[in-house]
Amino acid sequence: MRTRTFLGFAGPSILVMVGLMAVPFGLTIWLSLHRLTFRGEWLWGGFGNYEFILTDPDFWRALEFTLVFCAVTIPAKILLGFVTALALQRMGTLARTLFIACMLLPFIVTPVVGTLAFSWLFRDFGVVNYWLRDLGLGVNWWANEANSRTLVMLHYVWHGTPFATLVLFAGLQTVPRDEIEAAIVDGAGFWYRLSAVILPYLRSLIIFLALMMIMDAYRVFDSIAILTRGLNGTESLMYYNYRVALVDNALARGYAIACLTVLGILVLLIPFLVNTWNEQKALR
Amino acid sequence: MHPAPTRRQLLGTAAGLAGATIAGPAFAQASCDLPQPARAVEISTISNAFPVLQFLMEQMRACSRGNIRVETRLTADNLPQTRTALQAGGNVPFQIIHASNTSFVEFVNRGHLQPITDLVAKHRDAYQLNDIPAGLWQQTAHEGQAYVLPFQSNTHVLFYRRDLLEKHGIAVPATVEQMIAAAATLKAREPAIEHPLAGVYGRGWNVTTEFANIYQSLGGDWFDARGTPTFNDARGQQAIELMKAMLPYMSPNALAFSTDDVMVAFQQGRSAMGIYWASRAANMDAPDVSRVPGAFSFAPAPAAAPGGLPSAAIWWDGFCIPRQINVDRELVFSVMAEGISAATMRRGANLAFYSRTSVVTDPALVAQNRYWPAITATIAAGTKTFPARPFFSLGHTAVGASIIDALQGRATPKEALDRAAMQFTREARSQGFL
Repeated sequence: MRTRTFLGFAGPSILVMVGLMAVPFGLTIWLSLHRLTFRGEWLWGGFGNYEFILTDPDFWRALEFTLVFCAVTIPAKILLGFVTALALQRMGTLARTLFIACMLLPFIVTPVVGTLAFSWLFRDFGVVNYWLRDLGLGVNWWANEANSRTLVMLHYVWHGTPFATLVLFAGLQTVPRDEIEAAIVDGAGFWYRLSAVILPYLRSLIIFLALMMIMDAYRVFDSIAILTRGLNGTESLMYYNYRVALVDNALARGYAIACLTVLGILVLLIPFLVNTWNEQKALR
Repeated sequence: MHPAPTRRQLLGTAAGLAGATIAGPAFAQASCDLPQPARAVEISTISNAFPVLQFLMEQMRACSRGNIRVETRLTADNLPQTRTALQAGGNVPFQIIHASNTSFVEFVNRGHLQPITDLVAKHRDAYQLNDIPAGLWQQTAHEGQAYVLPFQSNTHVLFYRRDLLEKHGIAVPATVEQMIAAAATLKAREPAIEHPLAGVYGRGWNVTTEFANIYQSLGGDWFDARGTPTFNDARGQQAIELMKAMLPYMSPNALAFSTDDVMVAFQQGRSAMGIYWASRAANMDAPDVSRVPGAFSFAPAPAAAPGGLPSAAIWWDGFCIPRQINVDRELVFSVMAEGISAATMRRGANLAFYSRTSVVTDPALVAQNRYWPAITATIAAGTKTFPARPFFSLGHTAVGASIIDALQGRATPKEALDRAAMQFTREARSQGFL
């Protein structure tokens, strides 16, 4: 394709991207190098904001929790989503329709409303806690780090699994039927079919799903803002950014955290981007 | 068997219900006849969402007539949104903002508010503004100018189950130590009360306010004359130790408790005592939401040390007008003033300790509102407000970011407060306060 033709097609979207993303991001970097006085003046501050953040233990705790959160919830969502998708494939049409409708509820409900409803189940007077206590398994979800982190992750998995299920269920429909049947004729059991036929077919899809989920999990905010407000080591980078910029009213520092956060997500995505690049190159 | 209703009967019933629905709220609202502007005008408000504000905002909405439309936004935590709106530059999208003594100091020092001295003087008689005590006008003024129409004073008082204390021969606690001892007795002898104490100890603003109450009761000052933090002194550490001593008698989830969680704990009979917002006292007697209506009594908050001030601070809340708005400021003022009329306050008398003397000294209303004497006694005891320093909120949030570590034992009180002091100093310098 000639450069002129390429620019004719891609030019408008590149312009929009530059206007809506690159310019604000450049401005964010510029403002992060300033300090905002209480009179509203922006004064040059150099790397002072970055120094403040990088020496703040809360930042490192937020980074650690965000990484743990990604490492636990993403595999959990993909695994659960895959198991559910396999189950869906074996169901009759009516049961499948009903199941998908019910399963989509947590995904459809507005995140804040869904999180609030979820939170009420686990509070001191909540139904889940009531049942657990009846079983002698009373859990105080806000009492320590392990419990609070578990609660936040449980909510996130509950909320996000339907998306993984839908994507993987759609992917399962594309696995060639004749290859599976050939494997059955050759005597392959379920696990062998899964590992030798189905999963290789879904590999690209799973990588795409993981990519989307990393970006999503890295930005987790609603679950934390509603459930714990960052208590017990559940402050994510996004919540930390919000707290510093808007609650602590240190706006300039908030810009610096935003820059560091973008840098972090780029680092996390590098393996996936390299993989996509190699795949595209191999296709040519 | 009853005959089936005719279509006319059904239509009549529907019309009646519709009429009642439309007319119903009008009975509960103030009459608000303001001079009509020539063009359509929308006045927007932003406020917190506690019960008295829900009521007052309802009254302001009653001013929506003809060309005037009043839109209200109530949020659980309005401060970040209000800040963002005020700092964004240009015309502020809210013409009426709710401020308390702490947020007011921040807003006015940043130049976000406009003085309303002239409007107060002009409408003093029409809206009976002399009914608001001179002392409150002074507290809400800045450099001699009025900026606020105050609608309530608020403070923390002791909520306690009178029936349980009498049953076990426990005197009403006058100090925090006595309150902890009373909690220990109740925990041992009253199995139904799983967590005798409840407090708004949720992370951030809430737990820091509890710290501030105890710290100020111990005689602590947050800063010295130059703005250097002093909240990390021995009194600050003692305040945290007292808070830690209360935690074993609270729910294990106490550090996530909001104001509403504490209210529910009291109403459901799960907690028997606590230092809590006086403005929530009215909800204790409502039989539709409380399992123990009438069981709670109220007293000034216990002192952190014998002979000290109550563990509380005096608060006021009011309405202000941002510096830059695109609506006639006199009209905005009138809507605010209608919202805090004496008639309005009398209608919602159970919801707050209002700013009008004629309301809070009315013997009939005092008799109805059992918690008012506790507030009056707290004010009379000389309880202080939070420091009116423009950087106070930075200190408050810095403590809020660290104090949980001390309460959970991850840091000593001194370590946590020293860290808060360091963070405050850095941020206050960065923002040009120090």
